[in-house]
Amino acid sequence: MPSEIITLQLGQCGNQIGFEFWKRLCLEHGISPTGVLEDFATDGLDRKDVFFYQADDDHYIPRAVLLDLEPRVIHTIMSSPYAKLYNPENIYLSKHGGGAGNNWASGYSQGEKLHEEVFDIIDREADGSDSLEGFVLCHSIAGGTGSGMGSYIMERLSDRFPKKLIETYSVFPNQDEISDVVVQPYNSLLTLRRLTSCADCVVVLDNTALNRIATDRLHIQNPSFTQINTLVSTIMSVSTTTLRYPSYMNNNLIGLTAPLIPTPQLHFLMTGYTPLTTDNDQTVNVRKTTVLDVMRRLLQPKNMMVSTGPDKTNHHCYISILNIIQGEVDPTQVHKSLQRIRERKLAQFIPWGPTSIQVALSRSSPYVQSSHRVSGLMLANHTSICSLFERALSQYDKLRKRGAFLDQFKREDMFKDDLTELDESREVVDCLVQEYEAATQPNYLHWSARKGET
Amino acid sequence: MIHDILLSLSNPHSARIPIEDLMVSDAISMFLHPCEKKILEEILKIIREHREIATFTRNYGLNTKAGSLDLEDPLQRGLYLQALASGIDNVLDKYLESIAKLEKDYLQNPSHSLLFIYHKVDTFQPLFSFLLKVVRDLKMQRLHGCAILQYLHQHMMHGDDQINKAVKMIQSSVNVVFLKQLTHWLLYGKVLDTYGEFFVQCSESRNSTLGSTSAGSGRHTATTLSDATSTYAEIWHYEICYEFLPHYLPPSWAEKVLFIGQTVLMFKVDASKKRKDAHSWHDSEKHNFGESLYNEKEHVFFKMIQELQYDPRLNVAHYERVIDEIKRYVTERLSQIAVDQADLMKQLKLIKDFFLLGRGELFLEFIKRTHSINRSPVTDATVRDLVKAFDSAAHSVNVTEDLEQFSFTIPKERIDNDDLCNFGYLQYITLQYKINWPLHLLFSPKVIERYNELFRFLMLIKRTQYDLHMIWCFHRENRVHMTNVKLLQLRNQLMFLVDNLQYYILIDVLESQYSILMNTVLDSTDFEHIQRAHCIFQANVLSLCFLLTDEEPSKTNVMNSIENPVLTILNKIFHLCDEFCNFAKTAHSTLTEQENTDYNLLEKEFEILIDKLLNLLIGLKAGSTSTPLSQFLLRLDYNHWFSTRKEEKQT
Repeated sequence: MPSEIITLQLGQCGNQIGFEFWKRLCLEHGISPTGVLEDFATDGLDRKDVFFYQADDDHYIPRAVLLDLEPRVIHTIMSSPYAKLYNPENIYLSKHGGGAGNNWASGYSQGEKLHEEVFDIIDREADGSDSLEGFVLCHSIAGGTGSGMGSYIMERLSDRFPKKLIETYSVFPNQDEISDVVVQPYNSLLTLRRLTSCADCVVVLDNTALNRIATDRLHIQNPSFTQINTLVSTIMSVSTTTLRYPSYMNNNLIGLTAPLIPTPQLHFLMTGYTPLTTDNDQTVNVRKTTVLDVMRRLLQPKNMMVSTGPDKTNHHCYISILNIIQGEVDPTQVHKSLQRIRERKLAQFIPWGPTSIQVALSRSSPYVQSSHRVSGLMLANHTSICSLFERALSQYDKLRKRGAFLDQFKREDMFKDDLTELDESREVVDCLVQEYEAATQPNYLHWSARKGET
Repeated sequence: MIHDILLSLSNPHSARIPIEDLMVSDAISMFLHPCEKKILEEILKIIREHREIATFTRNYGLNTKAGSLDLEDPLQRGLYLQALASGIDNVLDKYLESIAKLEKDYLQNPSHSLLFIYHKVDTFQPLFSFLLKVVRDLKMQRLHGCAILQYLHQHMMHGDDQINKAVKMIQSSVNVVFLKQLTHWLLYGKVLDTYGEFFVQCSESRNSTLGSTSAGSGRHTATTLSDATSTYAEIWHYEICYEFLPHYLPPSWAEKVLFIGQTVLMFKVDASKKRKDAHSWHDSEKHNFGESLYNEKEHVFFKMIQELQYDPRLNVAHYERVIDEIKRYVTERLSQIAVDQADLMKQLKLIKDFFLLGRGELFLEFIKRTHSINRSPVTDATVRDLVKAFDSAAHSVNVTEDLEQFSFTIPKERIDNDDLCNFGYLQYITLQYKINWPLHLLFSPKVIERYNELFRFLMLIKRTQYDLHMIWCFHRENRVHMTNVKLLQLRNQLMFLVDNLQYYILIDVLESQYSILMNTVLDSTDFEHIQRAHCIFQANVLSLCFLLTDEEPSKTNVMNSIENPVLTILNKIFHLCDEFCNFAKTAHSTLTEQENTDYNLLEKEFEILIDKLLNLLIGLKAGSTSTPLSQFLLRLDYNHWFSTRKEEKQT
């Protein structure tokens, strides 16, 4: 099977969203929790092989590698009905089970120590695929394992598999609540550096926005992890739908990401989804959803999974947009919607290159009943995402100025002598913010050319 | 003498006219009054006319054998001619009767004068001169087959009652032949046409007939389809031969006739096939549909066609009514069968999936696998490799089941015919589609060929896109970042253009047109509607993909020299993409001087091309009929980037 993708799930958060993702894929492809194809799903119009492979007895096994330094989440998965789905050899728990203590440095150094065992698994999995196209990494940037060990693995992956794409689904911490992880700003910044330099495409899942959507739009008072993760799994599954179902284009990861990422540094993508409802949402649909409705709603900030904060100067703009629309769509409406959006100037675009809203019509799973006629996902490269990085920078600066909690890091080899790693990371992220700002200007290309010379 | 005259009047086939000798000799003045001489001359004239007509009927009539005559310039033999001749004979019968009566009168009363004969015979003179005209026209214009019908129809409305009746008689005699052929064609799909006279012709046999015409010998060209080699291709050999179609019957009528006949034919071919493998159908169905299209209703339609024969006025409306009735029955039945048995919906979807690249992943995989043989000249070995690559690609993406009806080939003749090798193997590839019975009426070889054109065009876009993506990966791997912004920018623009071209074609054109087609197919019970909708679908897709030229909608070829101007530019852009990809792969991370000039050339060319393209699209958009093209323009220039840049350059 061509264009296989291996999913790596790291840490508590990564494994949780990964778990939801696989649950969702099983549902969409008609695969039972034990990996057996359901009777109703044998017509085989989908492409299961991108994310699954078949064992000798024909049952489906996810191309997933589960990694964690502490056993809690993985144990939950292994005691769920889906325990038999995974290849047990692909599950790696560190032996001492002590976790990374929400410390990036600890996660990173443990990753370094364990990398042989981990890469045994990854190599085996990579060898088992015909033409591996890339890796998908699920993790959070705030904790210890997902961020620290994730960073280390990303670095190694890009060394070891230079031709393979690395796409990450990175969960950014919730800014609205006080985190129990005090070193979160350090962790975030250090991870961001790797996301900037090693990953090819980062799908940003901002917990701030996810929680806001859950409370404001879905009317859940105290959204649980599961509810948030359902949102995430929806995003993940829809964004891979063109890979998993036959379609005209976007049949591989390159085809999907290349048009979205015109310049290599600007590879942080926002997502938006509509309609946002929960299972118990009983509000009666009063209107017929059209393609235009979907496309217009996708451009509204309130449907975005990234909270960018108000853009006061109104200068931020879209670098590229891909809308994946599912459901009963009248294809002739697409053009009209594009026209309307342009007429009403609902979206601002970069002034330094050609760009447009690309609309892909995709099949949706016949096995998942949806009450919505049309649904849509937007993958967008928007310059305002830098506000997220600015926020991370300012939090880091606050903490760094006070020199708070640095001893936790100094315990690890990497930071024993000095803290240049932190300074360098700050530099990289600052550069990224500058680049995003520059990308709003018409002379961006000159800017980056100048930067390239220095 | 009177008896001599009477004898000459009634017997047209003797070697000479004995009474004529009398005229030459002086003896005539002894028997006749000088003023009677004139009358005799007049009678002789009639005799001669009669003789000429009778000779004609004898030569071409029912009872003569082809070889028995030795004429200097014989007319092409034919059933229609025969019928005409016997029709004329019938008309002449009346004349002979009156001669017989005349003789009787003379026997009773020998004192009747010459004038008496003249008086009787003279009434036939207008008729004779008319018939003579018919015969001469026939010989002069060398009318053949159905054209005779046409000729008769032109002379049908004659003021003279006698002639009018005669024409009707002849006409009905010829019409019998016509209707007989029509019935055979409509009900049995047979053309019983030994002499190539019917307006529905098997194109191959017609050519040979025409060839033999000049040689002067009639050739047996009847096509009995019972021994048809069970190839459906046969159906498409039948064509309407408009020069044989009587003008009073409209071409649309003839097309309907052709359609019905082809349908029947298809059923017959299938019936003979099915006898061989009957297991593929349920027995009940076999009796319902397979064996006969008409469901043993032939006699009803047969009667209807028979009735046409008794209609003396050749009422065209009547003809149309009958044909429409039959056609309605046939088409409804056909659509029922097409949808129920041949699974029309699925077939259309297959067409979309394969010819129109609906299964993108398969073709992407194919392109990936054949990337190495991209530009090399096509030889037998590469053909084999390509076919193998296609099969293994299909296998690896698990579409083998759907692919049973398709086979991937590179026809040798295509390679031999084409001398420009711009796009490598892509301009040769062809998909062959095994058509489900009875959809042969929908997917004629021409239609399939057009689908292949689309297929090649879409594949070309897809490969260009793939090449550009590879460059994107190449840049990513080699971390060509800031040092080479120019390179990235051109790459992005090319990628943008190709991507949007594809989005435009796939969504604005293919998906949109396909949904229109599907709606029509679902709504209609009439096979002809489906057929028409399918034709419209294909024509629209072709024209919106710029594969049609306005001037010559019938002859299209992707690589044709007379191309649609948009297509010309697009092809150039594809070439440019090729060049760019080759350039980008070898370029140093910081461009050398030579590379810089090369790059500038590429960029310049791209600018020129895109300017041209925009101008064209704007121009086309301004034209009233081509609004869909504005869709492509909208996508291309969505953030006004190209147009702004153009304006900047102008000021």
